[in-house]
Amino acid sequence: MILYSIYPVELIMGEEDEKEESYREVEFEGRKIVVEVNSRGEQRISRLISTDPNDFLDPRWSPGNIIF
Amino acid sequence: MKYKIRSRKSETPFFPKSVREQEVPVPREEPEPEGKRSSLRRQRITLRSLKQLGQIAPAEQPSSDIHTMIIIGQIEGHLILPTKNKTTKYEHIIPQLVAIEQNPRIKGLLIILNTVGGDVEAGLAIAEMIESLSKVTVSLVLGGGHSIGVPVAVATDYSYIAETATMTIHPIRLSGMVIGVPQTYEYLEKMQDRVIKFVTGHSRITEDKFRELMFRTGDLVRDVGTVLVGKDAVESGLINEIGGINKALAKLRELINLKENLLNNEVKK
Repeated sequence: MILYSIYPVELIMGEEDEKEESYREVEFEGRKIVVEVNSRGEQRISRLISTDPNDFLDPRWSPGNIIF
Repeated sequence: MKYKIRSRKSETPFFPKSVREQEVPVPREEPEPEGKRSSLRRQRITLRSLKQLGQIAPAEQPSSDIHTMIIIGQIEGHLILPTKNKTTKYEHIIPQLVAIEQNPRIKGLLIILNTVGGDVEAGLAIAEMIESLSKVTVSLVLGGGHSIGVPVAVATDYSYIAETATMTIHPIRLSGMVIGVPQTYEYLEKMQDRVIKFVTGHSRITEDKFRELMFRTGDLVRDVGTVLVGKDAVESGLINEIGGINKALAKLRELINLKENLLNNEVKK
């Protein structure tokens, strides 16, 4: 792998500063979503992976929403 | 030999399934003061009911004929980068591009870039995919389109850069991954040539000019190379025009119409 980036490699590959948050990719209602799993096991929407701009207007996929 | 008889720890009480289900707390329907919390709560309940009861989702909006793709953070290749990096993943982008190419309702694709670079192979792969797409494509560099973001930005039919956005052009450095190999220098040079060839082949910039920008000294503090701010990127021939979302979308519409007219004329002949 060759990185071609303005960030120094130590910054990219370096150790994690804090406790690793667990992110998971899930499929929900036909959309791919990256969720953050908290200590209570709730899945909070962190990122919606879609190319359709209308998906981002749908409040169901708003970042911060909790899906179960 | 004596055996101690240990008292068994109390086992989890067994209930038949129907009884257990009754114990699930039912969300209270008490009226709550209007506010952020209650609206959040309502959203949660809606989502829960959607999933649990399989209720029909609210009517879907017709999907747009212009789709958009955001290239942000590091472009990730064969290795998963530590989670502190915001990344654009190859395995997300490539299937999306395949789906866009195959969907007859999608006419155009807007690529928005704010990337610091990343994996050479993955970046070039994404650039080649965008370049070979039969749909109309326009890119917009916002914030930054550095390093391997440069070939991605020029891969589209037309490119825009925000006035304040920057693009850094610098040589490919040793990242520590291929160190110690005698052929390293040659190998890096080969990788670099792939990038240069792609960029000069898909923009107005000449190879001499691009190499000059790449190896210029005195511009960057810690490295050789150049930072091109908005106007500089256009003047060097790398990017077509300065603009924002309005210009980028208008251009997409214009190119889509042009393409459709050409196709219609061909059919008439």
